[in-house]
Amino acid sequence: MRQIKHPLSPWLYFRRNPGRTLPVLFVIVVAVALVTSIATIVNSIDQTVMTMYGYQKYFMVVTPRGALTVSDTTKQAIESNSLTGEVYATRPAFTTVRTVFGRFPTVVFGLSNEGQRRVMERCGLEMVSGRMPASGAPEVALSVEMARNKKLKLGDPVLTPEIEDSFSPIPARLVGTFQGPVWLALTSEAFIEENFPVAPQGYIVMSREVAQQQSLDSSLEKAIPEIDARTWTYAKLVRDTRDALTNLYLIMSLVIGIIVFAIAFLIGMLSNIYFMQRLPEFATLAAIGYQRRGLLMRALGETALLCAIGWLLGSLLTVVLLVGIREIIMEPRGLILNPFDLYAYRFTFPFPIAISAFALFAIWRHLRRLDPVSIIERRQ
Amino acid sequence: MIPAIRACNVSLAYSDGDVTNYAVRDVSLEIPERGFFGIMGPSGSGKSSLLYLLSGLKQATAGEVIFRNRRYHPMSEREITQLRRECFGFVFQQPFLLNYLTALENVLAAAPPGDSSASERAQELLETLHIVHLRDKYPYHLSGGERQRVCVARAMINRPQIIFADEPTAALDHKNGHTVIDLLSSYRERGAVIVVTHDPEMLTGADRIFLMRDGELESVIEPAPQTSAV
Repeated sequence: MRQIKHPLSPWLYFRRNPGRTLPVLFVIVVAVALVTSIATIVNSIDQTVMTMYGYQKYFMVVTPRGALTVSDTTKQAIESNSLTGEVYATRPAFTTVRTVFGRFPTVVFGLSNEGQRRVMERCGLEMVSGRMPASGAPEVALSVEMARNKKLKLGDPVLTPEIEDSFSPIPARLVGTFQGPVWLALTSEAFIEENFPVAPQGYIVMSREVAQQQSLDSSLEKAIPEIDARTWTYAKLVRDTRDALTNLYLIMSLVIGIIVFAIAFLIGMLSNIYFMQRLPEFATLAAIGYQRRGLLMRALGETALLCAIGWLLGSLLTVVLLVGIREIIMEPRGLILNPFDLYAYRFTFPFPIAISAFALFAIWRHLRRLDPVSIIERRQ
Repeated sequence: MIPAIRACNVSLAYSDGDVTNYAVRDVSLEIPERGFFGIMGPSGSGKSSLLYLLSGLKQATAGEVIFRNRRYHPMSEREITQLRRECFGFVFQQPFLLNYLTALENVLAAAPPGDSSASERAQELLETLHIVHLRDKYPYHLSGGERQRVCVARAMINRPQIIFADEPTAALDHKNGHTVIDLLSSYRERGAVIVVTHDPEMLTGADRIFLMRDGELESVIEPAPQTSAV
């Protein structure tokens, strides 16, 4: 004869009581999707910064303070460091890229042809269209994602006299795009020197091996007098970004905390109502010999299963939604969004815990005082 | 016969301010290991309360109940609950079946998880109670008599030593009432069946009948022995 699983399993309850389980499931799914989406979008700022300025993993930049060139002391510190591999002079122009939170400034590095070639090699970038900017010419090469972000095609001006945050006295046009793990914008140093008289000259400093870059960064940060020059390193970028986002994350955590509390409270209330409707069931089970603890664990099992299914479906819905948003809205505009950002899912972990705790509390209140006879004797 | 359960001067009292009301007062009785026993009396006579005291669903406020040398009084709620699960079966006036479970699943709900032979026993019980064709039906598809028979099967699934039935026929018509009583009575060879009723007709063939009035045991009737009806 076919063995039947114990009929009081949470799964059977879940399947056979859609009128009770589906509304709760729906609330959990929506809540998980909402929280994960908020967290993913907020976290996209961090990802955007790390992608836009991620080139600093491969080299550090040293720029002068209060002068147009780096002091001899700083030069000496760079050259004498045993980890220093290559050093290239650079002058910056600036442009912006769009993010979900507005325009972020980014540097267009003015470099010699050799400098451009080495920086690209170092960052693992490969040309996908056009060519590199010629020496002294008003030309720019960009990461393909940046070009897409700025809706530029080859021949379009990247830096112009008309746009304040992408200013250049002479329009500098897009002549090439490249692709790789980080975003970068390159132009000719000679062009900057000639047209941006107050653009300071700094240095791009590469360690001998990529793996040594962090050690070199740290060493030069200490060695270079702060009064002379400013160092731009990946570690500093991460630190500054995280510092800047601290308040945003705090606000987000607060909002998510309120959502979690409200949802857990709501589901706790629903559990309370459902439990009242199921009192005869629990009273009967208690009368025929089910321990209160066992009944409580059963109710907890049902809630936990509901939370687990809700969480999974909510996560799935989030991924589908975010992939859709990324494909339809974000990527065509060169905006960064990672639907698989595991960090965002951490914010949903309080849901199952809080919901189970609220439901458990609501049910325990009734179970503690449950007198099976009083229910059975109603004889309705 | 050795008593399966004994009540020694048990009382169940409720205090209402300065007044103490007795649902059961100073009742002593013995229920043998096997047989079909009735507790009878008019409404409010304390017959159901006595059943709850004997089954451990209520704690006596005085006196003691002893099941096979185990006194209820020092036992924890957990132990008494376990006793109900392992040794007793229950049939109530209303079947209190779980609406989202089929007839067979309702019977199995009383079996301990992991009891591998429970499915087979449940099936056999449904056959014995002539409702095997309803095994996959939900309670809301069953008639009152059929539901009560499922409840009887649920009470028997763990092969209890005593079945407590509180007005099991009160919500049924005459024919179904007799069917349920016959089914309960058929268990007398395997254990004790204690039925609370106000209908003397339902206790025809009982081995012993306890008559209750105003919370007190008025008399004990031991009808002449007769062959089991089922």
